Amino acid sequence: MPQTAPLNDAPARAPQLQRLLYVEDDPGIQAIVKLTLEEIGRFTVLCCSSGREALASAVAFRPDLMLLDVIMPELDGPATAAELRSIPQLAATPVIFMTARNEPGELARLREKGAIAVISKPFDPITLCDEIRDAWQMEHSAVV
Amino acid sequence: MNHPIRRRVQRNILMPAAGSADTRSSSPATTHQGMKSVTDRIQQLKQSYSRQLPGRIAELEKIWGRFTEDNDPGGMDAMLDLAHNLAGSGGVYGYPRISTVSRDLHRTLLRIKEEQRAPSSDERHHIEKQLRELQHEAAATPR
Repeated sequence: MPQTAPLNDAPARAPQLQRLLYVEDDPGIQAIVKLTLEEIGRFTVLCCSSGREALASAVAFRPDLMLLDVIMPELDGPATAAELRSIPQLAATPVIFMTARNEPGELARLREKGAIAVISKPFDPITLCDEIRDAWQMEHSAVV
Repeated sequence: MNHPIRRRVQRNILMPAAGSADTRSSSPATTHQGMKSVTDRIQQLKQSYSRQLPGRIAELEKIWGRFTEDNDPGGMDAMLDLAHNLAGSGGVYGYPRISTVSRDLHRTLLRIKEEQRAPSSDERHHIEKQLRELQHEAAATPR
């Protein structure tokens, strides 16, 4: 007789969010986000200054989540996300965009590109990690 | 600041709930001292940004000057980049008005670029007014 898994009424927990790939071309923003992600969120963070740099390093880093600026020279955030997610190892890795163009139409356009959340700039560095964790929890509760 | 989300974050950092998935008490930001160190470092970054801000606005004005005098085609892209960066970073570093004005400036410049035309007289006045406001804000104390 096949064994059945015991029933578990406890709410399913999202996997732990640990490794973040962060792509931002503005060094001023990159510095404060890296600091808060590492020191407040206690994430392991790989910072890249361009989409190309992210494409070169992402597979080896094995991110749980990718946090991408939208407007960047050469390869913008959505194009970087599309290229990253065309790599089989990263196809299911959630993406969050960060943008200074926070008109409703722009935010909706970014969500349509498969982002689990869009964070508007300017943001509060102290609450940024909570926004990211909330999006991660929502994404995994939606999947479960 | 007594924003509810911030209160929640600070509570989580200083007093992680027992049994929560996020109770790595050895981590620097879980202690009052650790949080102070983070806020001190954020403060240092803010001071550095404040020192650089007037130079960035001056750069924006210089590019605008070249653009209006010589119709320098690269000037529009350079201004768009700078306005975009200021829109994203100003509020993060305590200058919310820098973000608001820069976003409006970016929108104006983008419309002109997309329509592939020279700025109208009204637009020139508007852009110059925005540049003056940015200069004024850059000299203010961050919030």
